[in-house]
Amino acid sequence: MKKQNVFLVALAALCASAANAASLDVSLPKGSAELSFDAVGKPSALRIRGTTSAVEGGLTGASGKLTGKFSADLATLDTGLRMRNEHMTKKYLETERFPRSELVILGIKKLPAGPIAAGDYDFEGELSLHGVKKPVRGLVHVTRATASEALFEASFEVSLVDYGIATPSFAGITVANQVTINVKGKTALKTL
Amino acid sequence: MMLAFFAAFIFSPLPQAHAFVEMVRHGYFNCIACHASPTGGGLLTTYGRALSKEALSHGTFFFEKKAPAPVAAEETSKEEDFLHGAAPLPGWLLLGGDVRLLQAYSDTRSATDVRAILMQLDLEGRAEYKRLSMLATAGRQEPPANQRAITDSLISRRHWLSAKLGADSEPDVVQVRAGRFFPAYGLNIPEHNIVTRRGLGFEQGEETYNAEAAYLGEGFNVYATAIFGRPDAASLKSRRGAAVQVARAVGTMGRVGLNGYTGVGAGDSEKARRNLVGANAAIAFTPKHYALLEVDGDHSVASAWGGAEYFKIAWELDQGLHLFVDQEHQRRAFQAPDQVFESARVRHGGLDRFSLLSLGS
Repeated sequence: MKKQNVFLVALAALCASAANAASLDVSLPKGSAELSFDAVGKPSALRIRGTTSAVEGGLTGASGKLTGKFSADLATLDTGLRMRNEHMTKKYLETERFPRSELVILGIKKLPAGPIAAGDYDFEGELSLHGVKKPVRGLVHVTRATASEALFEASFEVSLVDYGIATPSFAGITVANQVTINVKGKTALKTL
Repeated sequence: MMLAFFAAFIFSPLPQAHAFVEMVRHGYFNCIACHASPTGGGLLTTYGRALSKEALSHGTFFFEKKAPAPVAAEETSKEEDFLHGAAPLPGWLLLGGDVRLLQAYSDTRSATDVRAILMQLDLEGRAEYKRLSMLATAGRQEPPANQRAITDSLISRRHWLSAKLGADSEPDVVQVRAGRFFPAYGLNIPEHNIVTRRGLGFEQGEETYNAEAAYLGEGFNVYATAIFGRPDAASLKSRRGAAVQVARAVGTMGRVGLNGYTGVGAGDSEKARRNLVGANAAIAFTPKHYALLEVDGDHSVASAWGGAEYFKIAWELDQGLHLFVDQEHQRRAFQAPDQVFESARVRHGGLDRFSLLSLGS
């Protein structure tokens, strides 16, 4: 009887270990998330928000150690005003030369070894924007997670100067250098 | 009931939910991006003219294709410039003007009346030197019946001096000004004849001499105003007092504000002192759907508490073409039936069309 108990405990530990070692595939198909940026124009504290749903990418790896990349089509960013869109894409982001921005995720801290759970997680990565690659740090907030999907919101800040983007200015209104990037969406989860 | 409705409206979840306060739907929380005046209204800045063409005026119909926007910041089509670019202005000078005409027609059993009324004809200019600005309007007003001189028809509704006191990086954040203008109170919208403007003493022509200090921050604004009435026209018995307005941004497409005002007419007793407290909101549900709301309590010892409320909800069908319904309600005194003035109705519904023609003025 005692031997049987020891065997069951060992089997359970083995199963748990196997589950921990399982790979996870996190995919973000195009259209399943919205990327937005929040910028402030001065004077007047004009609030500029640009959005696009042309975001895609994914993460893979052993659960707890996910890496991967996401990219966005910058030419599709919409701030609600045609002239502002034209200025943003053509003059400042120069999307004809640099049509996409890519975020490579190098690591997500404190991610549980088992299934993804709701919570806040810091991430580190590299952002390619306007032809410049720079390290970034941000926060991803998983609002709800099941075995097959997770709802999340991620945010990080970028400095326009760091990416060689000219300070946007028009008729006396100048956009502040710090811009907040937000991504909100639903990922598909698959245990491999 | 109204306060409950207001509270529900403000505090219910919004999808991130002056002058044209409704421009908050494009992220314009403060007025100074587009207007020379810190409280909005009147003369447009260069940016305001460009934005008017881009986001407000009905320059083309929905079925017409617009020309691509110029990419270089310095480039403009000249359409939005003063006199459509025919007379380029130096950077320190802004000029503009307002002309409003009303064609009235009434046909009753006793008489038919057709009248053209020139409601407003004003020129407005602002000169700026470093951190100092000077603005003045000059125009025509309806002459009194016993007109003696041509000057009786002339009026300067607004004239003031202002100084920017903010840090070098953001000088506009703190401003002081003195002169004749409306104190900051409530929604400063163009419909001057609604109960929250005319009914509370902020009708066109009722501008007073004031001294104002303003903080125009990223998330909130504060205006404090000392009101000196009309020392140049004592017979008007304009009220003297003070006003304060605090406004806070809500998401990227909304703002809510609280107001206080106290004033008593020159020579009037303290019983006639009028005290106002109010709340207002400009909320956009989407960049094309928005609502404006103002609720005010109106108190004096003589008439006790009364109130005024204005609500507008609108849908921008096409750029510059807004389908809207608005409603207003005012009671000068809730508890004195013999002193009640009441108006409760759907004020009107219709279309607002913001014409590009106005841009040349």
